[in-house]
Amino acid sequence: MNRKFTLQILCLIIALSVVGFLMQQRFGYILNATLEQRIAQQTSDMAIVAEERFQQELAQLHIAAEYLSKHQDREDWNDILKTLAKDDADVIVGITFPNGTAVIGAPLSKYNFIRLPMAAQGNDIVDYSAGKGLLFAVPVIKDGLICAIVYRLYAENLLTDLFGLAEYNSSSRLLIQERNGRIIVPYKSYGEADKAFFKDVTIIDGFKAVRERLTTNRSAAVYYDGARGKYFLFGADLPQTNCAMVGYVPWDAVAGSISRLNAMIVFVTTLMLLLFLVASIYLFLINEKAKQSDEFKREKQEADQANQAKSAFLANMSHEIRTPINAIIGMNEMILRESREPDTIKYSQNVAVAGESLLSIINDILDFSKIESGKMELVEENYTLAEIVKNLVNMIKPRAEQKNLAFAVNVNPNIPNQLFGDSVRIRQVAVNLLTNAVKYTQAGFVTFNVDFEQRAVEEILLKLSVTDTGMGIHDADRKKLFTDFQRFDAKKNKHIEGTGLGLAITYRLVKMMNGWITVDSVYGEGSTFAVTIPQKVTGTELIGSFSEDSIAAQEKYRPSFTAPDANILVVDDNEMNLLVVAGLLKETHVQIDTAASGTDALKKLAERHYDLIFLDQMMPGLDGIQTLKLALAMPENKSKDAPTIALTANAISGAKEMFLREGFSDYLSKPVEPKSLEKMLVQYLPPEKVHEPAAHVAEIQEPATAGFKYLNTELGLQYSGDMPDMYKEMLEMFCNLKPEKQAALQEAFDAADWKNYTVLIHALKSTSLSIGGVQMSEAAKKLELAAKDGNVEFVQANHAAAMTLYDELVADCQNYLQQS
Amino acid sequence: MNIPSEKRRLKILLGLGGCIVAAIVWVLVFAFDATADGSRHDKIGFIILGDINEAGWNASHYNGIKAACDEFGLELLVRDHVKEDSGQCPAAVEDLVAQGANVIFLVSFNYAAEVRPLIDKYSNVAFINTTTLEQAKNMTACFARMYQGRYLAGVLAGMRTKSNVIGYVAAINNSEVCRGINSFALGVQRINPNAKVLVMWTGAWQDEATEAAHARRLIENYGADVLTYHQDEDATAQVAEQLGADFIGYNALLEGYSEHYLTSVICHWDLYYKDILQKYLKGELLALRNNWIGVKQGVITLSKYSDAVTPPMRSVLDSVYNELFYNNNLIFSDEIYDNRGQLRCGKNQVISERELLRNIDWLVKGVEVVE
Repeated sequence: MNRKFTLQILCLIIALSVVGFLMQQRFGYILNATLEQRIAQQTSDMAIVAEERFQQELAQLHIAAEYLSKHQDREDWNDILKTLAKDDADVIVGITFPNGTAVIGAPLSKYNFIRLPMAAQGNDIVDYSAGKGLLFAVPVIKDGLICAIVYRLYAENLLTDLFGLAEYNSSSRLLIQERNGRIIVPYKSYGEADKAFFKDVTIIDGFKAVRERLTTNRSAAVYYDGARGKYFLFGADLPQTNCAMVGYVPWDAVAGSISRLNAMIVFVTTLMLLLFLVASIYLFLINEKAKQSDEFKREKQEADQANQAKSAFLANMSHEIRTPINAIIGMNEMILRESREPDTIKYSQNVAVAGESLLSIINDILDFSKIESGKMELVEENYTLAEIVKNLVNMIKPRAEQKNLAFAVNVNPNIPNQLFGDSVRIRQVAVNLLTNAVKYTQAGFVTFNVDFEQRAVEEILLKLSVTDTGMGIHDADRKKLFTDFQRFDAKKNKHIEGTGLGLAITYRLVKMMNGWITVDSVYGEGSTFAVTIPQKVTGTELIGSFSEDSIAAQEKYRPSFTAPDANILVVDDNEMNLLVVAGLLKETHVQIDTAASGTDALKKLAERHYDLIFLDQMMPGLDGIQTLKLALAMPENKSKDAPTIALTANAISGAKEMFLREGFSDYLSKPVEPKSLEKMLVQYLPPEKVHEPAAHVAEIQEPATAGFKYLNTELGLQYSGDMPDMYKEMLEMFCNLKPEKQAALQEAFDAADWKNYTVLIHALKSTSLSIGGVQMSEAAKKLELAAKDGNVEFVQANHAAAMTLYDELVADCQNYLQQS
Repeated sequence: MNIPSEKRRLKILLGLGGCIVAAIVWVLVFAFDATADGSRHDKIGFIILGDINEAGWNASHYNGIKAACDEFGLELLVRDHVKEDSGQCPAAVEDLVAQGANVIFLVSFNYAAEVRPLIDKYSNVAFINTTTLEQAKNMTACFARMYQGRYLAGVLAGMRTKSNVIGYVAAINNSEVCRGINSFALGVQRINPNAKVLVMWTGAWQDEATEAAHARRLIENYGADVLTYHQDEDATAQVAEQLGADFIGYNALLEGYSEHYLTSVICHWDLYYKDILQKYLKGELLALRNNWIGVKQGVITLSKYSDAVTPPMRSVLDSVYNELFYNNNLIFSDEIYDNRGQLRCGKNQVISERELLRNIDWLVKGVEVVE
């Protein structure tokens, strides 16, 4: 780029130089041509002066001739001649016959004076003969006959004095020549140098050019630029003579002042060209910059697009992952609730931990995508700090103890307890720091300090800091600490799980809350992460001394309430989800009704009154929003006043606002968290129907055996929380629904309604996987992807095979049901 | 695929832009050429009696001035078929002046007199006339020394005649025609003092019948064996050819004749006009009232001789030609008597050009006028 630029500028400079040079040349040429004209004009004026001198001579002779023609007496003739002779030996006067023979004085030869015969015809002549001198002759005419010629001949040595021309100016020279170039009358100072000048070959050539022009011009001047310098050579022929006046003047003497003008023009032109050049360079640079900024823009756009694609991908992925997590956590919760065996409970607890951690990873990713796309919003509300701290300690202490780490909590008892802010995010920040500390510390302790600083009457700076004796952080790495996906000491840390997003999210959240985060670390010794967040104070209560005894042990699940009188409706096209919700609420004794589609739900709503409705968002046919709208508009709906909770797997930012706007009371993200579900029920069920829980015992059933081609019963049982009853129930449902589902699929396939087909095959994919129909699920997944991408050919080629597989799977299911 | 084509388009655009810039620079640099050059754009007007394509006087003059104008790059404006004393000539002059003519040639005897007021009116236009007596500040009379050719023709006729009778069919008795007759007769006498020249007047420049009748009479009645003439046409030549007499043409190259057509007195009008125009361009013309051009300038010669002109005759003619070349005054100088015995020019005297132009109303000794 740089070389190209230099080359372009170089080309421009060369082009401008060439133009400048041409223009200067041209200017010089025009200037000289104009001066040539001017000088030629002056030359012709001077020629008139020279001519007049000749005419004076001829006038004297005319008077004599006149006299002679009237007086034939020779005596008189002699007198006249005497007056013409001027008493000078070098002035010869005389009278000849027309043929040149002498009447008085010397004869004249027409071979010396070629113009003499012209005089014999009646013309005045001025004729020069080398060595003889300059002849002036006038005919004597009597009665139309030329009887004599009277003449005066000046010797050459007199000519300069008599006819030498005044100098044109101090530096110019003028002289009279024969037309053939021989000098007749040199100027007074004519010396050897001048002789050499006029004999110079190039000067002679210059005068030849003058002569050439004189063939058709009265006078001429040419510009001469040669070895002898710069000159204008000029000349004019004197009429009626064989003489010419020639001369030269130095170029400086004529063009001196004009050449200053020339220099000025050259200067100005050069300046303008330079300005032009600078402007060009400037424009070029601007252009380059614009190009670069265009590139930046484009790159940014691309990056933004990539980012959006990433967000979309993350949202999709979260949806995909949440479905199985839903099952895992939900079923595991069932185990925890119903199991009486300590080992099973222990295993189940581990599963719960793993599930939580998986969910937290997904949440991390979702949070990050929210923050990245600017859709993360703070939800500020009143909260009690003590609760949060207690919660945090309860959560971290077991983990620390597991790793044999000492976990200390120091809480300043003077911290105001009632605060206003986003408690969820504050908790998240603290959890991130604490879990990191526990994660990266192999031995020693982790200390959690909670302190504050009064900033104003109703505002404090909440200070949370976590100190550990972990591996510490290199100085060099500290800068990168809060960037995305960064993990240090990759070798050492490879056994530690995580997305690398934790600190990035923490950093962003703290920023969002107008706080800041500092890190103090010595590599190999430990680190301190300190977070400072401004919070508003809403009450006078202080947190007081914090008791560590408040840490509760992991308890077995106990339902938080029972509501045997409450009726709820759960609408979801996915039978599995219906099953999970029903299962999770089993011990609350809530009466659950289910509907597998929007239309189904509308029917049910017309039949009876429900206290609460859970409505899935994404369903084939009527989706959640459409269903709600229709339900609210339906006159025979008996549950118009019932709160409706949206169920959604796409728990992306902005969802809550959207659902509220659409008429929902709240939303619950899938996979459904048992506590959230219960909390939701407590919140929205009529309070009179909610009671304190009673003790409850669940039965344990033996798992069934496996051994089918298309049905992985082990996996299916896993998904059903190892509950054979539930598994059977699911299998039965799967079999019963099959004809209907298959018909719908076939219909969509025949109608080439790929949108509906995608929804249906998507449902088949997840339901078949949840009962252990791995092959079916795989086949359905491929079809779903193809249908989504518009790859119709693939769908058409593989649809039939998938349907056969569906048949086989159902056959396996029925066999299993018969066996057990 | 897209990028190279775009590059090519860019290149083409750049090339086009370069060409435009080059053209602009070229114009900028060289547009001022004409102003600096100072080249002249004189226009030359030319008025003549007959058709410019008509062989003889008209075509020879037209071709002459055309060649001269071409040589100097001057623009020639022609008005032909302009009759004398009809009002056509003043109209033509007005027209030519309106068209910007700087020089106007009046190529017929009476034109100058007819447009005299216009010559004064357009004082910045240079008028040039031939064979006239009118004078004006801005008018120059230009003459070809045809009489020098007549002299040579006379020498040849003097050598060729056996009967010592030479016929001369002449148009109008004026200074121009008499000058020619005298010069011819002096030429004859120089080589053959016994020969006499018989002149018959026709009274018109163009009258073929009278010319032919006169020529026939000169041969048949007066025994002339060499004829010449001063007319616009060659009727005399046709009769001489018919009757087997030698003849010398005038101002035209004749074709289709036998060796009796000895030669023609001709004027190289291109050189004639070139001389005039050069003097005009040099600014010397205004200083000249009369401009004579003759053998010295190579304008007047005899045309190619017929076989009847022997080598000795040719060498005599060459030597006389040389004499004329070096001496304009060869013919009308020293003792000349007219046919009435009056001395017209004394020894060591020369008849001035002014006299030759205006006042030759006599014929030299040895010339007889017959009816």
